[in-house]
Amino acid sequence: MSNDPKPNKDSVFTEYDLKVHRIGRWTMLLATLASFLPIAISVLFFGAEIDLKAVGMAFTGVFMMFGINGFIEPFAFAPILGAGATYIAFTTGNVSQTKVPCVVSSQKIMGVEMGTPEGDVVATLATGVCSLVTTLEVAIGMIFVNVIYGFLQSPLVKPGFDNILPAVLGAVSVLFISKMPKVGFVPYALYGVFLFIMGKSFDERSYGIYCMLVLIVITVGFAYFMRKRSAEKAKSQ
Amino acid sequence: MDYLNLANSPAIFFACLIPVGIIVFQAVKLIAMSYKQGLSIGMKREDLNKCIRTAASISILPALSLVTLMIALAPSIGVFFSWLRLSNIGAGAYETLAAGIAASAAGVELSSLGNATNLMTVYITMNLGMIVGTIVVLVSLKSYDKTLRKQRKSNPFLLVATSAMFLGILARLTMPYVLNGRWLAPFRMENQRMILPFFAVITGALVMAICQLASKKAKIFQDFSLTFSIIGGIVVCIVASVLLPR
Repeated sequence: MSNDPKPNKDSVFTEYDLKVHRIGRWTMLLATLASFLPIAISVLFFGAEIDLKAVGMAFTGVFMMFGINGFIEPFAFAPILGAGATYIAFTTGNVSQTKVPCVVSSQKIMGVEMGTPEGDVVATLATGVCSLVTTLEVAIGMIFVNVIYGFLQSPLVKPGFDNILPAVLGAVSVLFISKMPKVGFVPYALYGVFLFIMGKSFDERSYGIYCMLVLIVITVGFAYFMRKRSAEKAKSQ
Repeated sequence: MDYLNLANSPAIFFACLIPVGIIVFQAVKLIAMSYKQGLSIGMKREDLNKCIRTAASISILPALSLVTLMIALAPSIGVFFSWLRLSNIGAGAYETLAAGIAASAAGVELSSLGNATNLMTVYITMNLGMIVGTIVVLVSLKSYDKTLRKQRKSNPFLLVATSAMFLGILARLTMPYVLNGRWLAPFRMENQRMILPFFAVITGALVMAICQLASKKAKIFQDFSLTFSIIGGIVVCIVASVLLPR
């Protein structure tokens, strides 16, 4: 696949990039529209009715809780994931729980940086594989529901499987803090102190996403300050 | 037709199979394209194969929590739509919440929706509730990607900023687990299990740190570091939950 930029208005993109955007957009649009098929079939062939008032009320409630995440998350995650992985991640969901840790860990293992062409290739491979594994695993869970439910819900193992996400976040945090130790501790320390004072429930209300924005600004600002300072030091020596 | 018979009917199965099929096609097509692209920019075939193996091994355990959620949702809204929702855009916590909000807007309990109209309210709400992210990606990702690429060329700091940005996101996601129970849980007998997420974060972090050190001696610790961290977190939480009084 050619890596040369095309001489057109999108010249910053290579032929591969343009194809990723084209395939990504179409498949995402089709998957989203097709996810309404069960509703269309129920209404058209089984006489199910739609209560628009209840749908409106429910949608308003859900939108109030999750709408702002929907606006912010693509802009926050796209620089980390790259275009191909962003299309897959936002079609299949569970972005911060499964896709991002998988991408970050794969990039570290492969020794590539996020935001580079190699980093984007690894991110797309990792997100695609993660999406396939998840779809397959949920399908297997659907087929062997009785066996798996009994195992995952047993009082012995349930506390372990309920806490997979915190374990993933702890591990990925170490990967990143070790990469940028001076900058890395800042958002953790700040948010730790903040939540200790305000209480964890502050994050659970819809303020969490705003806290994330503030933390992003502070961390990027601090990284800029550190970079500038080390450049000045190097100059003076 | 009873609403649960409808939800678990072959017609709904095939209606869910189509979007799941598109999702699988998307993943396979983009994997194939990025694999070719990797080769064309000089990455080695064995490295790309290793990346696929590693990503698969990392994904298995986190996906189990989605299986649990699907199993929890299935008795209320049917097996096939739960499968579709957890394969399609959404997030573990979102799905149950959205379904619960829709059921209460319809004036019923999620566990007994009563009729197909209420079932449709739940289905439509779950689909529409997360559609904002999809629309944002469809409308703006290409131009946003273009801006990022231009900026990266002219300003090398943007690569550092991307990592710094991610640290901000990670801190926001991780610290609520660290402060679960604000470390007071061990002193409050009735809430001892609130400290399990804290144990999971610390164990995950410690195992990852050990794997990073050990990876200089054996490659397996590098390749399976996240898998080992997750297993460590699961085991510690199981042991702690047995040892801590209920």
